[in-house]
Amino acid sequence: MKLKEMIDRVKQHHPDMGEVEIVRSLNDAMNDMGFRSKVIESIDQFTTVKDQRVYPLKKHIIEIKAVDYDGKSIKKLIGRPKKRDLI
Amino acid sequence: MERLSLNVSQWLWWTERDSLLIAYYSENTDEFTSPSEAKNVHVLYVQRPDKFLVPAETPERDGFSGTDAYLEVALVDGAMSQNNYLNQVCEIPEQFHEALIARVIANGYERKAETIPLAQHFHMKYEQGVKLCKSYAGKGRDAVYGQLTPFQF
Repeated sequence: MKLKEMIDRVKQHHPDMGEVEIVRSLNDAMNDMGFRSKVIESIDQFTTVKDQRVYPLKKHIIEIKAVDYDGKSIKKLIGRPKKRDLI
Repeated sequence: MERLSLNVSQWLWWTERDSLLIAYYSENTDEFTSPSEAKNVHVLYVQRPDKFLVPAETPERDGFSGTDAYLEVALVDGAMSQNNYLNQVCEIPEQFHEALIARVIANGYERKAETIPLAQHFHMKYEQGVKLCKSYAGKGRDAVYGQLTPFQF
């Protein structure tokens, strides 16, 4: 469904509601549904840097499901290393 | 939470301070070592849906510029155009669009005390949509997952 149709359907109930207000409200609804249902999955690729283990995550990422390193799936560490290394 | 005991040397990942960490665990030294060379990493993740943009607005997420497609619409100089913005298509599967609309309708009915019951009705429709969406996300398009086949002895 395109945005126009969604706006039209809302306006059937609230003809006085502005388009921008409807768009912002739809965005809130999409954000909430996407966060709670975890329905949108995606994949990203990057290259590691020598002696660097920390790679900041982009803000749109809610949850990591799996990581492949050098073409092979690697396991998730439960918890964190005893010795915290900030490199 | 401290890690559980490890006994196999292997590459591992974890998250901390809004970052992804990747290191090699050695069972001999009981230490973690950072990657020593450039290797490809693929990350499969759950993401927030991209928001609808109003005219002249730019995407929040990085990676869009020029005439890139955003929610199935071509941007103009990296921003949403007045002519096309109503053609954006929501990333959430179509079967749940009705629920999204219901939430906006509910928000509208919340403005007046006399229409609160209507707001509650449409909120309930939205919550039903979220529930179905969660179930859809869990099984994806695999119809077999989670189904039990009756068996008569």
